[in-house]
Amino acid sequence: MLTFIAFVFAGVISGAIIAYALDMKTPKEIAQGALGGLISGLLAGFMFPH
Amino acid sequence: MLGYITLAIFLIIIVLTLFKKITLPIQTVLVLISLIIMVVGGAFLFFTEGWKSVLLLPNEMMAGIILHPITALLAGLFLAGALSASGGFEALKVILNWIQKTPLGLAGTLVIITQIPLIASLPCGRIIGAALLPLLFSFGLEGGMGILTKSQLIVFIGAFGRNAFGSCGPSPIGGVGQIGEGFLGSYFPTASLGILRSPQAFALMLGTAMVALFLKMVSMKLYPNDVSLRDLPEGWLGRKKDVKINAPMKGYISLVIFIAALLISIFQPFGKVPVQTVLVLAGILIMAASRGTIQDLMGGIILMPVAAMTAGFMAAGALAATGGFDALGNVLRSLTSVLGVAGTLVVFVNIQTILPLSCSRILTAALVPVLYFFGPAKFNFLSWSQLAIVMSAYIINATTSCGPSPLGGAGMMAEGQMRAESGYIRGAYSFGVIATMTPLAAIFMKFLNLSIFSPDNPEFVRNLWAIGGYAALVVMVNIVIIKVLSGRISADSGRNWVFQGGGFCLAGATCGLVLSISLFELDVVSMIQGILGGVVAAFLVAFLVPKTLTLVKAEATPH
Repeated sequence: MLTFIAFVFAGVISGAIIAYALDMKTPKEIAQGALGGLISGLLAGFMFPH
Repeated sequence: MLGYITLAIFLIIIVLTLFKKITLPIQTVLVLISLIIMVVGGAFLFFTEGWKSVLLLPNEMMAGIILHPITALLAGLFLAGALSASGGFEALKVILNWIQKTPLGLAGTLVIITQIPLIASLPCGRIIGAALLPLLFSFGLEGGMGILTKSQLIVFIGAFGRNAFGSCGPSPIGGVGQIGEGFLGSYFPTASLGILRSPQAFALMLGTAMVALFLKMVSMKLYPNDVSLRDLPEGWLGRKKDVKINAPMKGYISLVIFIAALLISIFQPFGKVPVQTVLVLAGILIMAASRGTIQDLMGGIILMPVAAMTAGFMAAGALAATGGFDALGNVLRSLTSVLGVAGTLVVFVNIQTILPLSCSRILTAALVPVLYFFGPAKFNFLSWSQLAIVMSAYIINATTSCGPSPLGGAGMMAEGQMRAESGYIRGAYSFGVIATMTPLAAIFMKFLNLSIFSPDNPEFVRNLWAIGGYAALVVMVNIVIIKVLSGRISADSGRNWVFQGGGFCLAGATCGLVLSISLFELDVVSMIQGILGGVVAAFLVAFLVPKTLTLVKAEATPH
């Protein structure tokens, strides 16, 4: 569970930053980036040892 | 004495190759190094110990070649080759195109695509890079879709490349990290299940974001005329069109088999089965289901990382047989009197980014045994838990070093796809490793992973708040450095280079500080030593980042 939380945290932060770096700076786009990061974090968390 | 001679031969030839004074492929260079070391070692031993020692020398060298990661890598490449040949990547492209139309939107889809290499964790980032980089290119004007501007495409391709060319580290199917896990298995009985995987993945996830930001705010300003991609015409985005992407049914089937094989390798639901067996069976199943030919399969297999790893093991074996690692261990032990243990470790952890080769496995195979010496097995500078923390930082740093390598590094694939001059992404890739990934991998290992792999040890804590706090701190410091650098860039390339070096040194200091805290808690002397070591390492890395790229192009043009 803790691994999931850590990866979701990393995913959300990195997703928001990547969206910003991609010139997608409206709140909606940043939120979409963070959501994409959340999904990536969940998938990554699932793939790594707990 | 012999050890110092062979170590000097190894280092001198590697540095000459890095500075392109020797223009042979790195695998050839390593095999030559091995031969030279064996000849020198043989001659030395003949005069000092006689024929018997000479005859034992080749045997000792071959004993240094560890077969498990090589066969796991071969099996992983076999499976990825089968996936590629059967249209599995085409199926992935269709799925991604569909996701874009969901509430995730373009931004969310681009973020997921950027992180896909890490989630898939193939044994070599070049596999997924070769498969998906053309898809990324198609998001731009020249690629057909025309939904991203030139600037967006540079960041997108660069960030994806960073993620891909670090994803071989946490791979469970012959990943670079498995070399380190083998050594940690001496103390952590379940280390081979992936003790180094999560710290690397966590660090890579956040490091990718920092690379994206660095590319946007620093690299694009430093090298404004070195990407020949065409930008979207004015008003283009209003009349964008959908592009149809199709995939054969066999592609979807092979993708399902591939994911199943990956999950079976990781979670082992059928008991202890060698990962190689699962991967080869899945590869055969994919080829049977898609009725592919051997030619299709061979076309998808990339042998370069296997050759690199084998050559690295050969050189490592030659060095081990002639006492080269003992000599390196002694040199590093002497360095501790100048930089202290913390400072020396910080320099050592960053050594593969300082000497970036085309495949990280080359030096990882050679240098992980030296890092192991720092632990209870020899010098006793570190406990087992501290060794695991340093190893996690070392492996992510090593794994990602093929990205910025000027010797046919994987990053050149991304540069080629974004039509950029060679060296364009080197600064961003190196910065992301030193500033973000290396310290965060250590933090993740200390505050979470140790307790997962040794749950009965009360000394190992699980503290998500500490991980979150340190991650937020590191990210904030990185953002400030990038922001300040971005604001200082002018037309004077020399001045920019100095400023960039300053930014690297600050990032190195942060890396050294966090690493020393994760090892020695709040010991002030160690913290200062760590900062010094970080500055030294970052200075050496920044030295390799090009001042201008146009100048390189002009120098190469004959008058």
